[in-house]
Amino acid sequence: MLMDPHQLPEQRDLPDRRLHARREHLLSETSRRAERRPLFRRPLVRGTAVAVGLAVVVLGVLSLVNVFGSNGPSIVGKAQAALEVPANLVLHFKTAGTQDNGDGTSVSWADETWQLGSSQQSWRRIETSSDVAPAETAHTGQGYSQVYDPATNTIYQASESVSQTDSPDTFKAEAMNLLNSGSAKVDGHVAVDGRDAMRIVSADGSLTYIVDAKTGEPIEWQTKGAGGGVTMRLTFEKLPALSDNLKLVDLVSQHPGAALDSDPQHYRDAVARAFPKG
Amino acid sequence: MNNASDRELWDNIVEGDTSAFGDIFERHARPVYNYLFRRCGNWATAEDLASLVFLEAWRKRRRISLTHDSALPFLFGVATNVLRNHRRAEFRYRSALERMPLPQESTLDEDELVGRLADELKMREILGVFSRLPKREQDVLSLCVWMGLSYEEAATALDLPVGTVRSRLSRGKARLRELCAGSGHMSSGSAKSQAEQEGIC
Repeated sequence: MLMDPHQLPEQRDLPDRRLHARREHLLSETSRRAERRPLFRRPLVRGTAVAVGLAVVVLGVLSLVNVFGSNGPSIVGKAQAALEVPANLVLHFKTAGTQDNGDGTSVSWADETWQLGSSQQSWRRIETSSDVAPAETAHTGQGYSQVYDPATNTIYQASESVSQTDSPDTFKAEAMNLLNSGSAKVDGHVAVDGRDAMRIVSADGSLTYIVDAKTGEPIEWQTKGAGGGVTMRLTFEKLPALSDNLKLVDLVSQHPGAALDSDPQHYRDAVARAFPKG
Repeated sequence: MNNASDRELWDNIVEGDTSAFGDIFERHARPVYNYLFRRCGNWATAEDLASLVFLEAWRKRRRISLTHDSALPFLFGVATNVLRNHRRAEFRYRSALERMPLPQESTLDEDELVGRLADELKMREILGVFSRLPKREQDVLSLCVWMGLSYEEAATALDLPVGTVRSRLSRGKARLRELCAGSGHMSSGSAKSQAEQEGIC
């Protein structure tokens, strides 16, 4: 039976209404993603974002100096503040993820990102998976996505109309959702590599966010589902935006001898080589 | 239904045409859904994973140049990665999945429900034996034997040389025969005898 497809359960259709619902959901999500454009290209939005950013920084400072109460900010408040990165800092963010498939197998990966402030526009990232070579990509403040090809020592780049970039902020958005949900519970202290840490757990118990007990900085993010889960060990470092640190965000500075190729098709080909499994 | 080829649709998808992507979904949701079911053994999980596969395909649309007239080998490749990395994919699309409206009522009649339950029991037994193969051989066997892909299409799906697909298929088949014959790959004979009794092999 294993080698005879006719002996397997027959193929079935998705029920019509479910197929329709899935299609509509997919179109809604893809439209949402297709319409997503860099906010900071519009001056008004940029101005507003700067003002909001400053307000967040001011509020963060006020809360840290204990203006709003005698007990100081809660661990949730500290964790929220820790995720905010002012524009004059470079965020160095490392993720080491392991997926437990629940069947004795697991998959691991690692990402390392350097990002200018909370901007999604200027960043450089190195992605490493267990079964492919590391891939180094970047996004510039001028609106270009780049990928470095070590085989040819070339940086291939394309404008946003051609390129497909992922925000490096997926974890941050998920963590902020949890912290802003109002239903996250603080679940006591835990020691992680000798650090005093605190567990923040979602209402349904499927998410656990472990942060430094003093600073609220991220240490670990866990998701659990039926038959497995993901654990991501996090390293979060904020660096002053000095010349040397700004170079960490810039792919060209990291590979000063590399050629620069702006042909869109060459960029696509280079991305396909860098991410052979998509 | 749009009569354009997958390749023509994909050219539009790369430019951000979501309607063309809807056409690709309608064309290929069924085989992707069935492939996922045959790999995971649960219809509901297969349905959720199918959504992840198409969301991932959209994300990767600009990285892909279709090398076959059909987008299906590429989609099977994405599906294979999603099966392997589904927790990570779920993490990536958690917000999107939360926006997925839940079915208000069962859309299946009683016969269909019973049939699907029987499918799941049968597939679980089959996977009990099949999962003893190395994952790389499971991938090739399930695509070539269960879903009927050519060597070239499976090579595209799995991003492997055609020769590697052939050799893994050959090794996988041989190993399956050994499993079914119980030549030391079954533990204490119980799985083997169970598999034989249930007609899995």
